[in-house]
Amino acid sequence: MSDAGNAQVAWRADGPVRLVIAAAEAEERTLYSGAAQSFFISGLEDGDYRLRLYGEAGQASEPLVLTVRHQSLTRALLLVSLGALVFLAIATVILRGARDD
Amino acid sequence: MTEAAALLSPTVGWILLALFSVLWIGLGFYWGKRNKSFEDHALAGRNIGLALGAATAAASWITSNTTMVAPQFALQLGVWGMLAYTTASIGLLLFAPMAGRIRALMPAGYTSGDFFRLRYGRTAWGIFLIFTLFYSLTWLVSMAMAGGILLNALSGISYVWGMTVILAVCILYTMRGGLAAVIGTDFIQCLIIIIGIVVVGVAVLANVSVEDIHANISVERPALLDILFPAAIMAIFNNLLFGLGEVFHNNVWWSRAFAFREGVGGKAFALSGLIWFPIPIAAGFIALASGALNVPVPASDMTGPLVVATVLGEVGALAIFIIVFCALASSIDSLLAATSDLLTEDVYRRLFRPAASPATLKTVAQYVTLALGVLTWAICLPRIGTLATVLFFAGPLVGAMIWPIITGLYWRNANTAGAVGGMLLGAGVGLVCYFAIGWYVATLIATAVSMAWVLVCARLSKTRFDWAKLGESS
Repeated sequence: MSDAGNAQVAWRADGPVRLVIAAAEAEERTLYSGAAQSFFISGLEDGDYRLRLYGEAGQASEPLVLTVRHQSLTRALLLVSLGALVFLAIATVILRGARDD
Repeated sequence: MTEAAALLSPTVGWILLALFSVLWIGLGFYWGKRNKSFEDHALAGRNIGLALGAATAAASWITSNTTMVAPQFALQLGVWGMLAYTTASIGLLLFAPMAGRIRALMPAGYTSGDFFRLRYGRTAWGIFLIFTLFYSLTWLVSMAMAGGILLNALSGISYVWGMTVILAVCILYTMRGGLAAVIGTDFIQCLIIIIGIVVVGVAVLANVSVEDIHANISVERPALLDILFPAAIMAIFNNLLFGLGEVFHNNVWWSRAFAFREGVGGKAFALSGLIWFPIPIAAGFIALASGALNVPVPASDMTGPLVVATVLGEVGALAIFIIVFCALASSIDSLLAATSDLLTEDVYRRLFRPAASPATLKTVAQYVTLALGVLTWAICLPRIGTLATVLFFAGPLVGAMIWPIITGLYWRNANTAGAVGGMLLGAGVGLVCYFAIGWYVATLIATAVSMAWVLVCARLSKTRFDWAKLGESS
């Protein structure tokens, strides 16, 4: 489960592998081919994704399901509004300078 | 940092480390010859000009995080993540007018602790010292650990040796040369970092077009281009306020405000903010290009070095090693100098030896630098990975200090109850939110709570502070 659309995938393999990803009902897309033991996925939109490894001989691993549910946009916008308010107040105090000097 | 194959051989790494170590220590000893008193050692004689001033502020703010975490932010949170990181430059830009005000109100000041003690009294001063020493030590530990880990990842030099050499070099030249050595080396380090980042950015652009990068991200990482990416937009103001809190309270920046020649502080900090602003954009852009360049990323925190090494080969690996070493040294030296000055002035002099001579204070500051460095080394030695993340707990602490500082500098009716309550309430609520909700709201909530308390106290306050009291800091 990821709430920001990213995940670190790691595996153990004796040789090179091919890592593929597929959204529900979609075709598999290759993310990585090579001898590394991990891969960083990011920028995924909401949905359920199947991740699978293929070995050199074509043998496939069991699929790993990655669920992406981004955080609430309403809460994010509320926090952005609060942040903007606090920041503008700080900038106003500094840029306005000393009062009743 | 996840383990990956080193980009350079350990021999090349050791040669680079030796060359730059000799350079920094030699310059530190040379510049330290002129230091006779504590004022020379801690504040470089209060005579730093614009070029050195802007470069030291920019270089101190370009940490290993700027060059390594900015690409990570871009890869995790997309274009907004990259821009969220650049908001740290606003800390320097807004500190520009504050620096002029600080210099005018406290012409004989030494530390940010002097401000808290004279403006709000000993209780607020004590809370400030606890907060700032926690932040400074965790920042120092995270930098030293990052040094060991990065040198290991880039060249295969063992973690303990890499961390030890970086710390030892910074301790030696900071002890001997004080702030003058820190500022001088920062100037050179700033030039190296900027030239390095520009060369790397141009090289990446020569290998792939912006259209290709956009097309690749649209297909493979579409959420990174989403203007309403929730995690990314939440990070913007949290990061911005964390950066403001770090700059506004820490003695790294206050000591520079005191050290810059009269009239220089405002321009130097504004210029340093403008110099710093494009660095995380360039570093983040490199990460966004990784897909189009077909560079597989095994871990997000290795994005920058991997892309650079792929595009530029061994030259790129050399460049990233030098940039990282300079970025680390320019931050560790500043933090060592500023924190040792704070301990010397605010703890040793104020609490134990008010009559200590300038020469004694200079010697004490040198030993405090050494002790601080050794303590940092001992904490870093076991390589407990989670220690570096403790720095993020400091977000609510530094956020809660923003309002007491800015109102204390500009408003006569800002009072002790507001400052003490603002720091304690803001930090407390912020830390609760850190664990209950997440890191992305902690600093924001802490700053907002502190702001509300400080504003109410100032509104109800009948006291009117006499600015002349801040001039009594010598």
